[in-house]
Amino acid sequence: MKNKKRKTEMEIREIVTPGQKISPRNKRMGDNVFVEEGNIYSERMGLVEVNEKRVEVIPLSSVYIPSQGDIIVGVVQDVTPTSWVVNIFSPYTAYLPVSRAFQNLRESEKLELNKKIRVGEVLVAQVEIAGYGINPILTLIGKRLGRKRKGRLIFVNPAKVPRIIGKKGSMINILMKETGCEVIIGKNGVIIVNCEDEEKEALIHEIIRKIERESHTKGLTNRVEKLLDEKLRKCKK
Amino acid sequence: MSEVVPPLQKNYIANLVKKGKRIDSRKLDEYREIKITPSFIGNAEGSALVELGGTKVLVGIKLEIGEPFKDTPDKGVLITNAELVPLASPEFEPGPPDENAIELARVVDRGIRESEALNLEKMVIKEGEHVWLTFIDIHILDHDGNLFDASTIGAVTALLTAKKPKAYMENGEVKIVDEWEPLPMEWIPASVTIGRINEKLMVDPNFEEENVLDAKICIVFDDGNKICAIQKVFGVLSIEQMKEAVKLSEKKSSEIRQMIMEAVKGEVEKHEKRKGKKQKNR
Amino acid sequence: MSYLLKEKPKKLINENGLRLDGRKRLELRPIKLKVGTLKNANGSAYIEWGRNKIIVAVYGPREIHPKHMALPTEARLRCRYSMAAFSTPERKRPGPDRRSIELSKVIKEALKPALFLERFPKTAIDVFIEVLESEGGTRVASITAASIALADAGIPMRDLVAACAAGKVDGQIVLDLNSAEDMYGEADLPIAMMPRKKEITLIQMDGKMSIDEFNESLKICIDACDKIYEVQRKALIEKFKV
Repeated sequence: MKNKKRKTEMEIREIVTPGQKISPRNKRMGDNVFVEEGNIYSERMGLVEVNEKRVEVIPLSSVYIPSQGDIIVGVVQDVTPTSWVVNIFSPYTAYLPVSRAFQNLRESEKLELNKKIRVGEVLVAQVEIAGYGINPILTLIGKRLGRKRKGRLIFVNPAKVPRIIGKKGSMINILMKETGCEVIIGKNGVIIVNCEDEEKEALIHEIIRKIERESHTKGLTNRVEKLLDEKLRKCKK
Repeated sequence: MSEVVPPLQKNYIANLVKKGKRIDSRKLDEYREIKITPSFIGNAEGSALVELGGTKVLVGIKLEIGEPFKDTPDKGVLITNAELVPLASPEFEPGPPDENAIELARVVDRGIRESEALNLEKMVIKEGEHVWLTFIDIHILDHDGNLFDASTIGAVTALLTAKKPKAYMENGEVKIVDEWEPLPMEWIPASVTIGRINEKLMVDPNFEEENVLDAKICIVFDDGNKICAIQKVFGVLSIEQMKEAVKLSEKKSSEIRQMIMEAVKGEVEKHEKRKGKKQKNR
Repeated sequence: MSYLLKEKPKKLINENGLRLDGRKRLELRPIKLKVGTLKNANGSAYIEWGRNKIIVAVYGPREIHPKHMALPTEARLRCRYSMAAFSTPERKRPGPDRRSIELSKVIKEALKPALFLERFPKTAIDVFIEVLESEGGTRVASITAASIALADAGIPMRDLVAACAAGKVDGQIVLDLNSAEDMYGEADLPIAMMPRKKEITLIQMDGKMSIDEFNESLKICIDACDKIYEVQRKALIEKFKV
């Protein structure tokens, strides 16, 4: 009961529906809005962010469309003579060319790609090439990229990823600092959580689900901090 | 898969239409030449070949005796089918009717059924047991746009020229006599297809125009100034455009109806002549 | 079931101007709309419109199969309207019949103008409509629910699509035909529109109507669509109440 009461007190930011007018056309247009006859409309279910200069809509739900530079978490799906086919949980299947995974591969090794990276392996990769209607090209060359062999995967709606990361990484940093776990968040909504201790893993899962559910409410970071605090204290006891 | 239409082609057509012109130098409210050849197929009880510009449609009527539907024991059965034959267009593929063929057949069917053109109550031999099944089979032979109107013209003409033998019940069995009579046709519905490019409406879009239309709608009138079927095929229309389309189709439908009547009249005369000759030869 | 009659009733509208289900001439049946009822789908909606019960799932944009269906410059919208065997008074044979193939097509054409399909080239957006119970007007109820399932899936849209039917029953123009009125009435005119700009995305008619009757029907449908639009918007926002 107490819990329920607290819930209703949460402040919700303004939600708009597709086709809803947001502002006259006197501002710069951010994402998820369109112009018609001098007005700016939302093209999605989402939260309006508007100031004097700019208007945009933060979607409440979306699918992942790859964009250059994104860090994503994918699962190897198949091997071809020159690349690995990677499921990045998007309408566009990605490819990881041999040259973007290993820089000095012997000829004999090139014939056994299936042994270098196996089907089913989890990759943290960066989108190197992406474009309109194109299957993206991934790379493993870069800091903190590569295969992951430990941890659990959590799938969230890609629209919620920015909230889970938080402003300038605030949310994710709190999570990692307080729990001491490794949390890798793919832009595509796939998250790897790697902890020493299963209780903490479960706690992170719970918190991610909470953020997902309440992403459109105000004061979320504070509430998450409080919850973390309470739960961690219990863990220690 | 449909071909990619270059935007330049659309712009060209749209600019012409804006000036009230069209690629084949018709007016916006002008049909292409309509040629109706009734009784084209000897083996069919009724038939018509319709040429609407480059579009060629052959419609055949076949009659059979069968059971009525359970919910309408006092009515004959009307079944309409359309085949988008692969020889008519590179876009048509062999196989069972796709959504376009089914839509076409159902819209033609709706125009005839809802206008009550064919009086199905008079197509009954014994209520609940034996009725006439009327099959309308539409064969698209060449696709140059506006299949809806060409098919409706074909179906209505074929029905108007169709003949059925007299049938009656005797000792619980159906007896058929070699005395042929026309089908109980009561209305002559006419369908008018209208396309929209930007703000302009046009009738009878040809294939090139159909590819660049923003919207297409088909409206069928019976001949008592009543709408009896509407189908928006694709795109959007404003309310004003919708009302304009209704007015336009009312006017054009009466012109098409005249043409059908002309075509059928000739056919009836020819039929009478043939009959006369036969009698003379005797 | 009381007004689901096997034979045509003498009157579909009584001397007090009330219809078989007790409604007035221009009264909508009650509409209940719920967003996000399915877990697996990208977007979903459940609608109860009178006794119509319809569930809609949207999957996509997702990879298209078979691959040759891919369109180079936009997502391919695919719709499947399907009636459960037990959804009609007499059992409906499962699987697509000609009616449901046509309905799938016209529903697709009704939704398509609202979507920015060009954002997702070479992909598929699949709309699955399951009619669980029908009582006349399933296509307009399906469109009304499908449009909010699409919004729920986060697919960019110009506007929602609201839909309603009008028709002619016992010589009078009425709103939102039930199955008896659909079956025994003189005409049925389902309409779908994007209410913001009053653009018609679906219009079909069968039966007989004069032009004046048509215009009146059109008008009452537009007014009803505005009301349904509000129900849709409320349902969408309701999902995010915490």
